[in-house]
Amino acid sequence: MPVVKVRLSSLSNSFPNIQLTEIIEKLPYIGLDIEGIDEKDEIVRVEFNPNRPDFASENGILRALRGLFEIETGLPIIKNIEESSYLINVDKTVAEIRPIIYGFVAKRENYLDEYEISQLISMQEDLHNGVGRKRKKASIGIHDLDHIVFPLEYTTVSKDFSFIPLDKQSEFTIENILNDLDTGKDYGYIVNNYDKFPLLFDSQKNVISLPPIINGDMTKITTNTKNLLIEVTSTATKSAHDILSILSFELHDMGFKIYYMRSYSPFEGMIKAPSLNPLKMIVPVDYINKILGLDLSNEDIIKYLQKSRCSGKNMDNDIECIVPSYRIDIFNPIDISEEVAIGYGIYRFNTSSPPALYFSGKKHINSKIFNNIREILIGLGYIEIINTNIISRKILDDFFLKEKNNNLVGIGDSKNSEFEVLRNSLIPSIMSTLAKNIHEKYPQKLFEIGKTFQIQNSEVKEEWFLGATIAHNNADYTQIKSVLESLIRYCFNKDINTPGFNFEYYINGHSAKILLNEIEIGNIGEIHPQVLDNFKLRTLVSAFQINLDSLIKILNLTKMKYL
Amino acid sequence: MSKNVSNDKSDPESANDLISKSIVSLHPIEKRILSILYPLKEKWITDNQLIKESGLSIDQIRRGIEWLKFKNLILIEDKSDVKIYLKNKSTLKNNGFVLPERKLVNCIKKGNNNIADIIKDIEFDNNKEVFAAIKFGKNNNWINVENNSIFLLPESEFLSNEEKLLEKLIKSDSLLLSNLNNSENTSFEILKKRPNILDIKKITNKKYIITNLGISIFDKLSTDTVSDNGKDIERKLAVEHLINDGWRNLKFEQIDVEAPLPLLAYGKKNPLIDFIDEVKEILIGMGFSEIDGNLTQSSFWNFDALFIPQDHSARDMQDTFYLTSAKTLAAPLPDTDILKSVSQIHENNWHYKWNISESKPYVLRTHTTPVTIQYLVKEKPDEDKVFLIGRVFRNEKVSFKHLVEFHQIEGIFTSKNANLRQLIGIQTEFYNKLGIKKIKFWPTFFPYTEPSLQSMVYNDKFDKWIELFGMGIFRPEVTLSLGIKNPVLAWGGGFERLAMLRFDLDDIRELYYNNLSWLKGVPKCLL
Repeated sequence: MPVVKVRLSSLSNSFPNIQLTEIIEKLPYIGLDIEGIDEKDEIVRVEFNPNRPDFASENGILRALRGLFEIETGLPIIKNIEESSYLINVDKTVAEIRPIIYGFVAKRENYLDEYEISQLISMQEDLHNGVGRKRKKASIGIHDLDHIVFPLEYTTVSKDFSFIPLDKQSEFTIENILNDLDTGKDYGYIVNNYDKFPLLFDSQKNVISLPPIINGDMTKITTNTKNLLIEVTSTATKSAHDILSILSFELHDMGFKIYYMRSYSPFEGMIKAPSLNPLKMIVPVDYINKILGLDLSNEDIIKYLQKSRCSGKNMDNDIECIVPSYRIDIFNPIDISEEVAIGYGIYRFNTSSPPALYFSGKKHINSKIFNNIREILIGLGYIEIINTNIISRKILDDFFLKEKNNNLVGIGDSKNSEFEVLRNSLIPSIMSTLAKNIHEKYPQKLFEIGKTFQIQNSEVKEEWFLGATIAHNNADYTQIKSVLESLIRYCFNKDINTPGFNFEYYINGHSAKILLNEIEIGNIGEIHPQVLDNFKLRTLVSAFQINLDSLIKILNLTKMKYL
Repeated sequence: MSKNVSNDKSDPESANDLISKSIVSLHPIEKRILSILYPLKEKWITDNQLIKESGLSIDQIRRGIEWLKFKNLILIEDKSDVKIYLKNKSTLKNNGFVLPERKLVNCIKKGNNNIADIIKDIEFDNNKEVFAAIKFGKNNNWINVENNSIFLLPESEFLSNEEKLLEKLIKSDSLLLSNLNNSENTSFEILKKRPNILDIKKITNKKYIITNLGISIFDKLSTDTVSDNGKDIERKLAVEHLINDGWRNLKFEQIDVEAPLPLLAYGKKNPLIDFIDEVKEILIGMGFSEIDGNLTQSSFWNFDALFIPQDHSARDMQDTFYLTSAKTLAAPLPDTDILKSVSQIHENNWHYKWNISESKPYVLRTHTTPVTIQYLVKEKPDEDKVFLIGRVFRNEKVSFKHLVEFHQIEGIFTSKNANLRQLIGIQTEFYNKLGIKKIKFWPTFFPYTEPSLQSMVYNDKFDKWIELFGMGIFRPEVTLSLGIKNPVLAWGGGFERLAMLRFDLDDIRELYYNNLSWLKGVPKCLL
């Protein structure tokens, strides 16, 4: 989850009548996780959820807290957005690449300070990663307005076009930017499918930005900046409006005056931004009370909505709920109910006794059967181990089980070399457990119940298996077979047949298939000395494995009845 | 070397207690040793004598003596020592007991002070010996090495401590370690480590005597035996005694009933599986039924069906394991009605073009919810309580707090009037049954639930709040597009987090390491 730093001084200045500890204690109740308090820098680091990009700044958090503490409730409103003649002309060549560009202008008397710049940049990054889907869906440029001459032109250029990118001294061609600069390497793929690249110019043909990759250096914001141009390019109109809305409220809270800007495009005509119309939703009172399990009056619901910085109109059986445009996470009546719950206070919910309905809980049939198998094996002195389903190719190689018929299921892009394939047998994992325990007492009798995987008819087939091994200096076929026969007899009162069959990983002539009712359910044998050597074992091992899904099917165990 | 004399005669006050306690637990070996010491009374007996007279083996004597000493029935005087000789084939003998460092001094005195030349000097057997000579020469402060030349220092005119000890040893053939003074002791330690100089021989010289307590106990033992109406004494009941009625004329020796014995090998359920079963029982007691499902899932069921947009970062390769294969591989998708309604809800809400090819890739499930949701789609229950505890997968770097495979516990309750307050109630009851009393609920966010809460529980052992399970009500976008009518309350989280608290582990990897000592050592019953 993204993190935002909130200054303790801002908290105490904004709420002079409330103890700092109480303010911090309440942060979780608007959905913020306290990651830590940094006493030295007088900062509290809070994590916010990606559905609340308005929490990407201190101002957004204070705005919500003012509601919760009832200092300022209801819809936050930006009064008087100034009309203006700021204009972006959109060229039709951007159509397929990144057709949308909206923006607005923000002005203020005093210059940006270092803290404000860092907050704006971190908010921009969070918006890029969330709503912007790592810039693919939308990206943001924040520029020093005073270096820009209107109107702007949003068009395309070829890859040999060059300009001075942000924080560089010399001109780079777009090709160089894509190949050599970090942001070019990270985000170039978004626009690289076309031979033209989107570019935002001012009327003097100076480069403002190469969306979604990098801005021009000319419009860089510094502590000498007091007037801003905000632009968002996007592939979805809603995302662009959402982002501008969040930034409008942020800059408004920073003391900026907001000016409209128009985009004129061949696809959409004239669009004015920012568009801050609140969302209106009519929600039945019953719906809210029913889903929360509360019995709130219409007035209460409206009051709690206001504490959550929304507002509501009483319409008898319904509430007309009004949601500020920056709350992009609210679009369904269920979201309204959560706002009511937060305004009411999650900590005030007293628990409801569980529903007075009769439910008879029971275990899954597999759990019952597996536990019976466990009980018998434990009685025979076996210890249960658990291993991962994903194993390394090396373990399979060491066990001669590197799949020759291509039925093995692989894992893409694993971060750990020991996790490469889904196992197609349990015995290799048990062998590696034996290898890890060579200093422990022998005999070692182990078993595992787990899944195996293989491809069958283009789909992954998962099957439950039981694997068991006995390891000591005299371990042999008869010992493990007697365990197998005991298990099948004591558990299911059945007999198995074991016609001899050679497997690569067992000693020739000392291994067999396991048949139950003439159907193959597994195999059994003495582990081949080369396998023992591969696992660096200095003792003998005998093993069997059986397919529990087959066994359950053959014996019709899912129909197990007590009487 | 030790010169211990054990604690002397025992405390008279508790003597009677000790007598009756000790007598019941005397082993035949102990009795045999006492029977030798008893008639000697005040006289010491040596190891060799004891072996000879008792007929016991050295090992039996050693054990018996340890037990008796522990019970204060005998005293031990230990005058064991170490005898030091020159090695029979000591290389020193060949050259008149001159150490290499002295040879080096002589060599330099001849005017030969270049290292390369010294190595060639006939005095030395090999260059190893020269390097040893340089090392010890430096230690003795005899020489100074500059570049490749060696110069003598005034100290080299005097004997080193090692030479002094050697001289003494040559004079007297052998020395006792206990007779050496401090500096000789140091020299001995140095010479001992150098090859082919010294030989040592351990001399055991132990003597034993019976204590007053030992005498009393042996007296008691004798009276007991005598007063037994002439019955024979056997160590234990044998089957033939039972069959031939011989037991009627037998009395049995008191055995040591308190001695600890080795633990037996045993079979056992895996502790994690065991704990999972205990938790399953809690849930079944709360009316939940267990369900099961596949570990491999289509991206559709793992993500799309749960309202996670196709361009969402949660679906990136960095976090999710996508399956690969040499053969063609395509996960089964639901029927077109469901595909259509889910794709529509995605496009309407997330404003992007939904693409069926993004739904097809197989993933290892990143949570258990795809199983739950498919159960609901298939069974369409009006009211139900189900749960599962199963493996989930995350493509993360393994560490003490992260695994790529772990268990997730998940439960749902669906009913016409299911609500948030009930969800908090169910969760509170579940925690209470686990023994957790202090619980906090906070709002949070999950893509497929609304409202969403997370829970914090207070752990007494670690004296801190720990984040446990998340929960919420499935979003209407999820349920309606899948044809699920009633609200579904869902809660869940990582199970290993509970297991680490249960088994007191700091490193989550221990649960899967299969260390047999750990597996056997975890107590079966909750303490």
